[in-house]
Amino acid sequence: MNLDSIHLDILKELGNIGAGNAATSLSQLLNQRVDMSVPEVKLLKLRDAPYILGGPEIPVIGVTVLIEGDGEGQILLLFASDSAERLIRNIVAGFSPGDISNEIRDSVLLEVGNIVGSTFLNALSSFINLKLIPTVPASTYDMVGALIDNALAIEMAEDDIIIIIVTDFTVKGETIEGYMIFVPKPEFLSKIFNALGVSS
Amino acid sequence: MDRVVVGIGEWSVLKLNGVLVCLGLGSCVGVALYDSSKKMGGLAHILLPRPQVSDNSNPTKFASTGIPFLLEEMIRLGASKSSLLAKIAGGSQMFSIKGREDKINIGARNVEVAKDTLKDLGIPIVGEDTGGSMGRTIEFYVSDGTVKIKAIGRGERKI
Repeated sequence: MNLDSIHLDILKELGNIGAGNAATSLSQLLNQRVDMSVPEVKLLKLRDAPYILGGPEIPVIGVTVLIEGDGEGQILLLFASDSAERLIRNIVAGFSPGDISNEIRDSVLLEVGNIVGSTFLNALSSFINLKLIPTVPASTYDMVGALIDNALAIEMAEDDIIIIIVTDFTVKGETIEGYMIFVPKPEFLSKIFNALGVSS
Repeated sequence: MDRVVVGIGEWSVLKLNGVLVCLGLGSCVGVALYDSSKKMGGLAHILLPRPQVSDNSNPTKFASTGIPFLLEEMIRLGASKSSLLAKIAGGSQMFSIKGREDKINIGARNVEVAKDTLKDLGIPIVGEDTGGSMGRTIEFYVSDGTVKIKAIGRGERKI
């Protein structure tokens, strides 16, 4: 598939709409202002994808949501360990860091994955009029390369290009950089562009 | 000493000395072929078991096409098929979601097809570190055929 600037603009717009909605949901959960924006949509070659967070061996927190329904794919949220830590600290404000158990960390991250994943999908669903259902999220702590190749393999990324939607989270004025990696199966990506009247 | 990083879907061959590396393998499988008589090593970084449509653009993305391709390249560079030995690593399942195991156990399928393909080609597997739920970095030392494997929280292994 040849993607040009109009495709990228569409994806960035979808990313921003999804991020805006997700920020609203997160704000309600946290009872404090959360902003999310999509500064950038990147198209990367398969071999370059594991380098987005500095190198394939960098340890990261990943939250995965599978997409089911009229389109199949995956949303993978990635945070560097310190970003995840700041996000968790902001969300469970009031606890001292030592009181935050691994169980709490995990459930906070899963909830963030849940909210971001499902609101992005809702925005996408209503835009393109396809029914998209997120699975429950799963979280992992491991090398970023391992999480990315796993996502690409599950979605049978036949193309050599993948889409990365960079997402900034801002909580209480502190910017926390996250990466949302949207890996649609190739036929799903075609459906998205067709639904929007852009031929792929 | 040469240190060559083999990216997703790529392959490389070195002779005499140097290290071939796959960084952060998840469900991907690194297949190392070694001819000790020539001190020649080849490494393929496999993403998927088999092509779904006939796709010849990048054979080493797939186990079923990548291993025969690597073998051919090594023979072309002077390796002898009868002395080749294989080591494989990777093929993890990085996360679990209840009821979706069939979809997400791609690592296990990669390992299965890699083993079947090696068997069909008559190349014995002399070392293996596959499966589990951890990412792995592998370093393949061409001088003696050692493969070092690093994983977070598990330390280093050699096969």
